Amino acid sequence: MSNNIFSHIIRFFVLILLQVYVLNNILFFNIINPYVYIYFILLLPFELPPVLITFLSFLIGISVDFFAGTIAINAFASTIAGYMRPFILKLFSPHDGYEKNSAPTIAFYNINWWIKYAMFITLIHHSVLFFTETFHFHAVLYTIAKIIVSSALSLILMILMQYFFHKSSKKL
Amino acid sequence: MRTILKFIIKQHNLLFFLLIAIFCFVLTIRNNDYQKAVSVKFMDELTGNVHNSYYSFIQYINTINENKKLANENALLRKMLLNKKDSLQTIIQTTNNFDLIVANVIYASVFKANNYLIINKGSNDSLKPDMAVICPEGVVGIIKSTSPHFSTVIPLINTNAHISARIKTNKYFGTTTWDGTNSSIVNLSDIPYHVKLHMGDTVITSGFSAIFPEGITIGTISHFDYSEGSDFYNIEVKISTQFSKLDYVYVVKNKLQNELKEIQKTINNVQ
Repeated sequence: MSNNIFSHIIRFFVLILLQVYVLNNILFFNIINPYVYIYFILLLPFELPPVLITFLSFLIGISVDFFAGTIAINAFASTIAGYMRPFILKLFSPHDGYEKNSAPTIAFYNINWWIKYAMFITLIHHSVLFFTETFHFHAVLYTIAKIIVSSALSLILMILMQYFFHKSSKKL
Repeated sequence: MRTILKFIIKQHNLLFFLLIAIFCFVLTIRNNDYQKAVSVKFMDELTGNVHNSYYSFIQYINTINENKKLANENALLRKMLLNKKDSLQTIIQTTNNFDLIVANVIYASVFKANNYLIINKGSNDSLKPDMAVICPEGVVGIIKSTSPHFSTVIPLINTNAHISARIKTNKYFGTTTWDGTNSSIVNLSDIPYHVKLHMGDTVITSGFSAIFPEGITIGTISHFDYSEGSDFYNIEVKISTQFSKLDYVYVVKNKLQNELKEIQKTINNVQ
């Protein structure tokens, strides 16, 4: 269990650094800007109380903001995404609920389930983020296009991470 | 009490989430210049609209009084036109460098340290910051910011307002400032001690700032003295504009403002 918490903490910091120093500096085709730090929120254990998930989501969002100098835009988006997580888990819950001592990964559940789950949270997060960033509804189509392609890339990156780090073993 | 407590315990996740989300949103607006600008503009427009509907309601109630006042003003203007002595009228007519735009004051604060007014014309009527606002009695203030339909005006009686002024009779010039206490008195500084002053002398705008036309009335000298060892007078000027009764005002568009500003810039560059 302590090892488990430790890996979450490591993931927290690695994802912030990856986001701030690598992904924030890449703007593919002037439109795609992936945000993968929400991977941390996706992988939080099932057992955590919802209020703690909201808080941890806020924490990683505000940390990214501090590094990127965009105080509270990311925190706003990831707090909303974190708050929505329990509802989305409920929405895609298997017939007999989630197994005890399992984690929300591809290894425990299948890839279809994981893509649905991750896609919803990514879309919520990216929509809030990009609309807060543009802050108006003048160029809605452009913003929506940005949300969709960026979400797609974020999702692909996060699936790759799943296969690299969590596929082989059923450990977190 | 118990039900409230129960509600809080039951909905603690939702409440916590709302608290953090609102906190983040406020931080976002406060810390990001772009988001700040958009929301300030939005709030300006919103409060402007609220003030506007309140104003039109009041205006509807006051129609009879307004009509009387307008008739009086019309009569006054006709008289001025005949005599052609009024400074405002002659300036507008002789030089063709100024345009006047009529606007209504829809909100005015008078008793604060940083008073401001809102008028019901904005960037859609080609109003811009730094334009002068005057009324039949005299100087009102300077436009600070504009939204499409409204503008905020910094009046004479704002501690941040500095207006270049001169005494009509002897042409000595200084700057008017407001100390934030009496909303009918401004201070005129930088008039040297050797100048002869009289109570009741008229103080007008100097026209140096490229904002106000020359010769708009600011007020009359109501008190002057000088402190020992100082080279300048302390002058109190009674403002001719009654800010608590303002309604119709004119925004002055100086067509030569850009030219004057540019030449002042070149002077600064040389120095």
